[in-house]
Amino acid sequence: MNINVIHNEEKTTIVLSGRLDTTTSPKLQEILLPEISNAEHIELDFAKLIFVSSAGLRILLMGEKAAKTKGSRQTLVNVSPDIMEVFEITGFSSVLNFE
Amino acid sequence: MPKNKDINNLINLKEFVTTAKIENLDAVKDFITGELAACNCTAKLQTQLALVVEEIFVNIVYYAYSEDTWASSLPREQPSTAAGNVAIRIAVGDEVIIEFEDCGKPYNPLEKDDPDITLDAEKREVGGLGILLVKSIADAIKYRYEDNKNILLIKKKVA
Repeated sequence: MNINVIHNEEKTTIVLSGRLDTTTSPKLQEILLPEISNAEHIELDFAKLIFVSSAGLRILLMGEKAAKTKGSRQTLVNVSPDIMEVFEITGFSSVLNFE
Repeated sequence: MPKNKDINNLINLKEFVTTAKIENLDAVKDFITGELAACNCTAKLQTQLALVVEEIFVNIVYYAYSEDTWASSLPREQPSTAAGNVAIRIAVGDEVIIEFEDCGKPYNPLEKDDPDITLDAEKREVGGLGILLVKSIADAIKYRYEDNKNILLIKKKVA
């Protein structure tokens, strides 16, 4: 998985590509949590992400909880139908914010 | 060879044996997706079954050879150090059959209650989501403990 962080004035966009799985999710955790503590709005761009497992869900939930605690927002954009299916099965479609 | 007649009767059975360690996850997934691709299964089916295989394999890595019970080992930060082997078998016909076999302690992942997926983010926990995904994607799952082995059989129709 590749992770690119783009800092804009109004939001920080984290562009993910590849697979968010057991092997790669620690890498996102390392980047996401510090970014959330420094931004009002974190946008996760899933356009080039092809796979999410429960290990990835764990990090996304940590991000959502951290954002809520801080009073900021974590949003997901460009989520593919296959990945949305994983969110729907697990109820994450109503826990995460999609734009 | 497996004793399960479900899978043993299939002539195109392939088997991959590896140590129950996270670093072998990619090799296990590559084995499964490679077999599915060779049988012209769709990319969607390959992705779904790669997810199933990851969730089951990771569970085996964290629990089968661990001293901890399932509950006390959550969150799963510490993989067991005394890792044994896992055999993964696949047969592709009108349906895909995938079988996992390990020699760890008796452990039925299907016994755990499904997590409450209706809770707000603040109250959500991540335990059990992997198995929930497996149950949802698979058409049938059977667990048995036989000859000191955990055997989990998963079936999924080829669409």
